[in-house]
Amino acid sequence: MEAVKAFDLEWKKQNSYYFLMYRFITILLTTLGICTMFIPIDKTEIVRTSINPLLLLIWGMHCHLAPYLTCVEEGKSISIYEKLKWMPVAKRRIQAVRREYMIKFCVKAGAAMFIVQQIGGILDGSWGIFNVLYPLWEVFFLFLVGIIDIYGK
Amino acid sequence: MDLEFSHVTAKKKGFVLKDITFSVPEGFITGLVGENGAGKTTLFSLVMEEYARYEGDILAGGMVLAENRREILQKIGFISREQQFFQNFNGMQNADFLAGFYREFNRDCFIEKMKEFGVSFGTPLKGLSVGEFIKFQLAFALSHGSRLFLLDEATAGMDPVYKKDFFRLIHEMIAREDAAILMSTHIEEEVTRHMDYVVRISEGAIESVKEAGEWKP
Amino acid sequence: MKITINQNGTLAIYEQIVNQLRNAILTGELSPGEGMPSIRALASELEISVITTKRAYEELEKENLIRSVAGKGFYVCENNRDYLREKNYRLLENRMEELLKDCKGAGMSRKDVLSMVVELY
Repeated sequence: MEAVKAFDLEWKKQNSYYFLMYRFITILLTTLGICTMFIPIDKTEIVRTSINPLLLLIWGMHCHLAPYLTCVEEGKSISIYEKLKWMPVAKRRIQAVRREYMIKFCVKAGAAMFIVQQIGGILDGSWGIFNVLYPLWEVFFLFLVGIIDIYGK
Repeated sequence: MDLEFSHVTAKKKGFVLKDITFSVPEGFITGLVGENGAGKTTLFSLVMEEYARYEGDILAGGMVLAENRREILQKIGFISREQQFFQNFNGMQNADFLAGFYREFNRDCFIEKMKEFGVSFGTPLKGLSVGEFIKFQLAFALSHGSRLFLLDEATAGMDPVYKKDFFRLIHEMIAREDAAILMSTHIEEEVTRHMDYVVRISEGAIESVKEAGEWKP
Repeated sequence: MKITINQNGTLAIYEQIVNQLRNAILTGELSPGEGMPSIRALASELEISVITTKRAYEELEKENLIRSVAGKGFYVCENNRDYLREKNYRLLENRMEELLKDCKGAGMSRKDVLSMVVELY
């Protein structure tokens, strides 16, 4: 198995409680976020209606990635990249693997959001092109924030 | 695996290293001697860090470090009090985390070395004494086929018993002619007895490079 | 044989090794033709630098006490007993001279020295 993934596997195994905690929060937030996507986009108040699901999902994704990005020592949060900086591995590689996880999350959440939004729009009777665009730009922002989270450390 | 610095000049956090040129040959112990703040640790970081910026060349085993970092780092054991490792986890867990990064990691060898050095497997690294932490690092370095050992003040503040043990290990490692050791120290006694070559560094510049015996004890 | 290193002594480490090995050879503790430990093995055992050990061996080689055989290592020279005896005598002679100088300095006469020797031998 590839080095970074092997590390992640072992890391998850040894930090199972930490991961479980984060997973719980992720599922909670992401589910809430997707549920709010039932509300079809209000074309007159695009910004206001799209903020809530976005914030919930961003937070959810952050919690999904967090245990792979940081570790806690002496009460301080330390970047994983810092911990592995003297290992024979490129930082870019570690980041690429996290990006993979992030994209998987975006795709799954995006698909769920999309379906939910279309249903909401159809049920409401107001279905239109905006209902298609709305989940797409939510995912776009999600992806952007993910990139900042991963590459910003 | 030998190490070579060729006209290395670097600015790091306001500190400057000027025109550093010397070699760390295989089969010998090279001492890097200088007062605190002379630049010893900075020199090590230039070798270990991924985005180290400097002029000049650093070569290991004949390969340019900047172009072959991952390959070269497979064979470097860096031992220092400032080493990263996961402090909340014990030696065995750390080995399990990091083994995947090294092609030649030998788990049995690691276990054997830890036992030989008398380092507890089950204690989290943060619970080990500095000496034990250093020994853990040596065990780890020896278990992934290291051929170049960089030791940053590994004996500072250690008691004589520990030092005797430590140097016994160092000399055993060097008995194999393909290993090279660069160790920094500011203790003169260690220099006259153990070092084959001595590089004296002061305020970021090399003062002298001498062979053992080329100075009065 | 055991070699001891005194780090705080006035003699350089390689000199201490040369002296102790030379002694061992002259007194027969190391027999003619006997194999010596390799430079690296000895350096490792004594926990001293390889280069220092090499210097000691080179010194002993210069004094014709040991010789290196290509590919095999170092051996104690199979010098005729006479050569060794003469070398040993010479060293002892030096020591005797030193001692006699001290005796003279202490005010002993030739007779005093001789009677002391007879008594102690």
